Amino acid sequence: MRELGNIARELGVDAATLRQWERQYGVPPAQRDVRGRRLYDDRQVAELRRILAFVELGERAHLAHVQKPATAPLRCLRLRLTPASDAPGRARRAVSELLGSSNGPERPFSVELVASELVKNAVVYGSRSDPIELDLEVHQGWIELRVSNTGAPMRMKGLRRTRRAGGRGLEIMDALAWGWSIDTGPLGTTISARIPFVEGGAERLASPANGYGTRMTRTSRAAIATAERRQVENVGDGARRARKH
Amino acid sequence: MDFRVATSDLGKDASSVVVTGEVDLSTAPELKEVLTGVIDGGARFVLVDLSDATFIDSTTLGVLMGAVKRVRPLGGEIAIACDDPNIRKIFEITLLDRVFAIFDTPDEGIAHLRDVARVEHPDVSPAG
Repeated sequence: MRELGNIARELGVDAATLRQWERQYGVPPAQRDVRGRRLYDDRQVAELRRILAFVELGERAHLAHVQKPATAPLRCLRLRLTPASDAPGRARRAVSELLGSSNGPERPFSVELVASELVKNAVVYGSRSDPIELDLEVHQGWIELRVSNTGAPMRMKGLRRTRRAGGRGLEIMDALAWGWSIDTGPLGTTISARIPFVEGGAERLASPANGYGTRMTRTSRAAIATAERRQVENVGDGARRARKH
Repeated sequence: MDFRVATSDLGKDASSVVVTGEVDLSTAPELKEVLTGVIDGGARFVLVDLSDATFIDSTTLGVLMGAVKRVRPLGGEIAIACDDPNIRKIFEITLLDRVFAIFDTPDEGIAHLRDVARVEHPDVSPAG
């Protein structure tokens, strides 16, 4: 359990903002210590990070919270993939199998595409030997997709070169997802995306507020930059910890 | 559908490359090889026919952009034939619909390339 001020500093937001979120929206419900100070556990910190990612994308905090899976997902999928060139194809097939129809207007193309792009990034920019994990949750109206490469953090520099050959993966995700975030640590990088999806119906095409044809938004560039910084910091922390022992 | 790629000569310095199935990280290198071969063989006007392609990704876009970079200095052009709204959407999202002329059918693409090629090579009878 950690104290509010400490977490606010780590997340780069005002402690007052976090207190406000809790008072107004009840997110996340904090526990109190004997002196009444708010305490958060790792799951709550993860939830704060997720809300912040949405807020950074222009979502209002209470909506970011409401959109969170309040109920159990309708269906889910968990895959472990070997980082090889056939991994994106395997991911696509598993996704379309789970979501039903693989052809016609109901084909969940956006979801297949984003899954494919994220797995591709993990293959190309992640560890060459450690598995890639894909988690997909179907909710009423959207899909929560998480792809993690394990073993080592993703090489962000490669990921950022959006205009280079094959570097348009994040740009595609940025256009199709409601929101997304990158979380990176010494042992891997997770990219999460929330993609609009209507179960059983024709795929509702994601229409970003500013329409297609926008280059990656500044916020998404900022998200990569932040992840990159965090990665450097994490590596630094690891080194410091290593020295202590 | 399994990935296949075939080429056909459209005469002079034009060719078409017909793609079937899914183009992604595992198959894009083969497409790249074929496109490079066609361009090295003298084609400057290339139709990439995606009518029977069922999936393309950012790797594919990278390969197509590579081909554009090869033919542009030669005054050439890459046109795309594709009527799958999902695949067309990928070009729109990434703004590449402004780089490639995209047509519903291969015939329209070929007609376009013939037009451009004719403008590029006006049939001038030798002076004299």
